Amino acid sequence: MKRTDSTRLPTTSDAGQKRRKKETQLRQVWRHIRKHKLVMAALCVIIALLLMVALADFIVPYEMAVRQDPALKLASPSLEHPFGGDALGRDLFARIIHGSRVTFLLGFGATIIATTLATFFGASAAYIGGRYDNYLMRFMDMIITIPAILLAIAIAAGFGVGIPQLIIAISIPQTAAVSRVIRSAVLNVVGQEFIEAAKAIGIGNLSIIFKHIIPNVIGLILIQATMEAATNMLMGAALGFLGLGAPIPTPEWGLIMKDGLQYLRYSYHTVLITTFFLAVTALSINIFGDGLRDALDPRLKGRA
Amino acid sequence: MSMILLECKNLKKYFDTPYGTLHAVDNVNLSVKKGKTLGIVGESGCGKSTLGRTILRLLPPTSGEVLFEGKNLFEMNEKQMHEMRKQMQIIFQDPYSSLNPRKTVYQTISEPLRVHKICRTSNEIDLRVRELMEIVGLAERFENSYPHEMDGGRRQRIGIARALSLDPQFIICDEPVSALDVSIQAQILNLMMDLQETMNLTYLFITHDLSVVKHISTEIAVMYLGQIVEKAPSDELFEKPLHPYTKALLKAIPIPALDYRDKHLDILTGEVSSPIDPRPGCRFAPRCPNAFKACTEADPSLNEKSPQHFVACYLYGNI
Repeated sequence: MKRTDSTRLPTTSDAGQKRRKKETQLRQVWRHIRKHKLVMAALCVIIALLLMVALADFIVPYEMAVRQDPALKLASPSLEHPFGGDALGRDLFARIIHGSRVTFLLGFGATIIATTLATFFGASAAYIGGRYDNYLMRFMDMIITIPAILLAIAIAAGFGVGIPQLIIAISIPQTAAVSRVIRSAVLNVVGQEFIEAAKAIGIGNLSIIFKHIIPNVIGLILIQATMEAATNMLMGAALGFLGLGAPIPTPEWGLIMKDGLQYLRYSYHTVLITTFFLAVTALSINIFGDGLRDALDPRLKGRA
Repeated sequence: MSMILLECKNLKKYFDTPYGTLHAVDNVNLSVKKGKTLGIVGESGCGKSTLGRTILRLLPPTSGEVLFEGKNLFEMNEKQMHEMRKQMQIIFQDPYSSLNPRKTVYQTISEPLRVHKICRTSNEIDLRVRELMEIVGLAERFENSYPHEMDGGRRQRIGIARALSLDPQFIICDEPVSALDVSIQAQILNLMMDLQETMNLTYLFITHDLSVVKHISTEIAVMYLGQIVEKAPSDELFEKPLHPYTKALLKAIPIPALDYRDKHLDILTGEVSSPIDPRPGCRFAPRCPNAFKACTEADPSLNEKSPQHFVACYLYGNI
């Protein structure tokens, strides 16, 4: 074969051009999100909450969240204690701020575990197919039928109450549910001819999964993960509310609500403020997830 | 006579379905000479694409052999097969699904070079990609474009560049132009013929479009329900078709002439019989206007009727 050598050598500007081109996808998403006020508002709330989680110790010392002050017992909000006190005289503001750490840890921890496992199981089931796919998915079906609450109780009975146990209890059924979604998305990609082209070139299976399949479903995985995070936080709070979460003195939103519930008649603000925080968190994550989905997949825009 | 590059011997590919065994490719024997083009024609669902994919081991074969330069592909281990992939490539039908939508033109074309470590430095890869783009007629400015930004013809050129990147000897073309506009079809076909000439490529050209196959092939094999029913040099097949199915196919080519409008054409009746657990005998017998008793008793073999002209039909005295 005769090769005509190109005289033009690549220059640094070419490399820069390549990089610029790659950024556009992220930028497109950003442009899309920026247009939607609601999504932007949700994003701001999420960022504020994340800052709260990160800077909790600077806002108010952890000491405040566990110290009991008899004068603060069921106190109404005041300037000094913006959210008042709980039944044991602990500062509610400090408890909510520090409690967000547990809630976010639960939410994101379970999400990361569930999404990673689900991506692995879902992608491998769709790619390998056949009997492996069938057995794995039937197994996932079985797991889905176990309610997270029941699982959490079982795990708590076996391994005691604690945050790691709770994360595991939440992520197991979630893994099953999400791996089915990811499997169907990957199935769509696997059926396309560029996967066969990759095989014909001689690209290894792992390479095909990571370089050809995952990049094509990463948007969906991100959207799923965002939605999961909100659900997981709610689930975490619910299990905490049932006493299956953090051990007693730890500030945790579910636990705070449970404590406050007993004194609802005398001091409703404990439950109200905590619920407000939980609701705003879950809602803004959900709205952001919706916005992200619209931005990543313009075909679904406007629906749902 | 030129050298045979690729040969299929009794190649079979069956699929297990809940309703029985689907005979997608059934006892196919064919050979492709170096530097020539073998066209495979047949209607949709006759197993043309499955044949192509089985030859490349993209699908595991049921039985049979595929010899490439005399070496059996089905006896090779992973490593040997990986090396073989450099020699044989495939161009796909659908230029929309055959390219990864998340990869730029540059990434798609350079990937095979990286996988097979053909170019050592990124500079070399850059040069090779540019060269390939030039060969297939893609302007350099498309280097960083994504497939969705391009039209069908350009996308197909990317697919061709990807197949050429490893400098293969043999390319399976799986209906490479059937998804394109007629004007673009001609461009792509001409490109492929030019490439064949300059690089001494060998094609297995799968299509259902007889006018395309006539244009590009040196030899044509007609496939019906997983079997080859007739094989002949291109001109001979069009001039002297033997098998009733081939005759019917040739008659079905539309002729753009006014006086043909009212003429009655002998169109085949009936439908393609099911490829699942087919009955013994000629697959075409249920639709064949000339079928007689022997046709439904045993499979006819592919026999040489006249030099280089093979046909599998009892009408020509096959046993």
